[in-house]
Amino acid sequence: MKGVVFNVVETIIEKEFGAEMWDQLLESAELDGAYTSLGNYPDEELYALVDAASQKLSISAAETLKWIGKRAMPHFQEALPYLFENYHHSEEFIKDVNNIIHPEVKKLYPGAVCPHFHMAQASRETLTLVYNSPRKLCALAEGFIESTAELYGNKIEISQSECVHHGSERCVFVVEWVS
Amino acid sequence: MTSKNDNEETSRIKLLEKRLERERKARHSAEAIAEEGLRELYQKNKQLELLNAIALSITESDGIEEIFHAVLRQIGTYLEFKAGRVCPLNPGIKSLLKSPIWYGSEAYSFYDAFRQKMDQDLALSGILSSESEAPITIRPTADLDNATLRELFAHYEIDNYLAVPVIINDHIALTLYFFGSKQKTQTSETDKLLRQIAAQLGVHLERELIRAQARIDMSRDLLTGLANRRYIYETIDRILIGNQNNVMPKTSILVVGFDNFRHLNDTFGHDLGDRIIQEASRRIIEMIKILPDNATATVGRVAGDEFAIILEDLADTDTVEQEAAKILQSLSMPYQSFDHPFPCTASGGLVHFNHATKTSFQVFSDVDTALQYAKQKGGANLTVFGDAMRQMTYRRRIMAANVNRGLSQDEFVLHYQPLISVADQSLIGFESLIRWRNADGTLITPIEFLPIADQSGLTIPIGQWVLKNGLKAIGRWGNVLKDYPRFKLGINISPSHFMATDFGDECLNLLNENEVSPDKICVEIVESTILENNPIVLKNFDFLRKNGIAIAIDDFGTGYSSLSYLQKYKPDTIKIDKEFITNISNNSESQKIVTAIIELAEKLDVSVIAEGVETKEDFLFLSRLGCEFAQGYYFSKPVSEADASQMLHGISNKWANRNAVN
Repeated sequence: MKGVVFNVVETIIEKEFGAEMWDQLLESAELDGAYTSLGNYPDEELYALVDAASQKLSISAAETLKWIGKRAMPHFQEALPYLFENYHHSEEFIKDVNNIIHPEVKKLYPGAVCPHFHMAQASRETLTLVYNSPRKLCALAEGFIESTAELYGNKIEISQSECVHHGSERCVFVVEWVS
Repeated sequence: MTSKNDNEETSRIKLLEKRLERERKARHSAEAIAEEGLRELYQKNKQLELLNAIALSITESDGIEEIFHAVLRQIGTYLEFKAGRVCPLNPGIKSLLKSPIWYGSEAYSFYDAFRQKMDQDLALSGILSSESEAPITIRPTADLDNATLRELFAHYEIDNYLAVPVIINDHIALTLYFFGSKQKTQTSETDKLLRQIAAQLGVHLERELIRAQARIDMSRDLLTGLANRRYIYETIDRILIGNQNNVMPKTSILVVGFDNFRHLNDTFGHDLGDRIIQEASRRIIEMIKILPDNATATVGRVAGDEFAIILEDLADTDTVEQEAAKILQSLSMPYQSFDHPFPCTASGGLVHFNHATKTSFQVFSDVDTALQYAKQKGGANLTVFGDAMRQMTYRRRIMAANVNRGLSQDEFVLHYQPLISVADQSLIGFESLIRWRNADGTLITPIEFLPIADQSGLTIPIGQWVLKNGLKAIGRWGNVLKDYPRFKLGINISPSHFMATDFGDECLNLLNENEVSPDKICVEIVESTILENNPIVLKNFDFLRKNGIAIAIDDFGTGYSSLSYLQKYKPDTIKIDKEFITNISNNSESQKIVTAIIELAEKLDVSVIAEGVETKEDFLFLSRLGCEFAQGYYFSKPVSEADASQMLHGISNKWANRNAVN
């Protein structure tokens, strides 16, 4: 996992709960936590941090991931502003994630592994997104989608019809733009 | 302060220290990542520079040797090798390289000795045979199987080497070897990079090979595989250009040609001719193989049955002439083909280069002159071009210039020799004959200037003049010709003129211009014109006949008479050469021949004119044979236009008189 993701998680935790909380999470996850956005770190370190946070917050790991995801986009925007500035609506941004956003991310962080979302326009306002990644971070993805909508000031309704954590081979989200 | 506060302070400091430590670590790792990135960037940049430099060398270098030098130097410098060498395997590339191609960093004193040793003792290309699949990596020389090589490398402190194979058409065309002594670090990119360079080089070399082959093809004679005329010219030019410092190289050029080759081709077909040419080329090659030491020869086929041999560095001109004579001798041995020996003699013209030799054009002009002299001397002869010949050639050129002037200034005149009907000795026409009235008033006959005109390309202009002026004369004779319904003016046309594609049109246009009916002229051509078997000749022949212009075969019987062409071409008339006619009454051989010709002509419905009738006896004899027409001094020598006009008007001549009486 790219260091930038750890940095964003750290920023969210510090903003919501203060710097001490991040110290505590690192301590209980037994990590030294020297993350730089350019570096590459084991996925397990992220999972360990999520576990530690879920215990502290008394919510499930999935809910923790979703909670992080929902708050992430403004921080990504702060780190990588130019990725966001060409879009005026979250739907445009999400539809470009495979073709423009992730390729741009890979330019910045050589070796970054980004998931590919299969997308299908279910109706004019409804988009079906299929997430299929060995990392199984569908909750984080859901949070990212919600966070993106919020960033652009759009209202969405999101539901998950399939999930790898519930016996499916993939995760499927149905996103409907209300505004 | 309380101890509790102290404790809080202490743990807070510890926490902050820990955060500081974390940040420091993050910074260090970020710096390390950035530095690694810069290093990679630098490497990539160097690689790009190398690829760029190599691409540039390949496209901009002058010739493949220069490319190899550049590529060796660029890779050698990039990977910090001491020396490098190109080892070609492909014979095409080998032939393009004059000497071994080396790269050497001059800083190393061992370089010269090492490279001499390598060039002398070892076929380096054999070090590694199946490099194509192996990764291209720098290897220790200590691992080599070949003990001699190992020792050699150890002696010169070469610890490692790199072999970069260049593949063309699935084969290693050459290998670039590099030698070094420092421990080298090699990134995984190097293999990819070197492969890329090798591939680029391979594509270019393949193209060069195709180009080189095309150059060879362009300079080669297909029938014999020898050089062609163009290559021989270029070689002479190279020799002359290479000799601008005025030290005359010992160079001579021999051009040999068969004395009777066209006859052979005409009689036995081109297949046999081709075989003899091939055999002749083999004989020449055999002869030059046994030239004295140090001498070199370049052999080419420069015309149908002519070979040029450039002889260099023979001891002296005597030796050259001896060798040339030997070559002629070997060419003049009978040729065994179709289980049958064909006798074929050859003549040769020889030119020794000297300080006056300036251009290949001049060399060929001189040697052609010498060859012509050799053939004129009766063949099987070697003639060395000398000053006397140069003088003669010079005089000929002057003569040619004069002919040209004569044409433009109307110095030529036509004379007319009467053609007589044998039965009643009536005048039935003239043969027009060109004369040159020189500035001093003397008349020059065609025998003196036509051969020169022929060599100078003036035959056609002369023919055109004759045609035009003959027709004008007919126009001037005008109405009187109405008394001669069978009248024809014979006009001699040279082979090259008759072979001109527009000859037929030229005749028709001139007839129109002068308002002369086509049946008033007869185009006289010599046998060799139709023996060429040239399709244009056949076309012109048909065209003239269709347009009512008669054609006569002149000097019949003297050429390589092949009677079959009489049937093929169906001329209107044959003119039996005076060789058979003059003194026929006393020569039984001639009688037999002429009798046969007249009988044959009758059967083919071709009329016959006997040329060169000089005595009453001959005339009477021909009359008895049933010969239809005749011309010769017995009746009249060629006369001026005015005299011819008087004859036509029946004023001055017995035949005309008789005709008038009739």
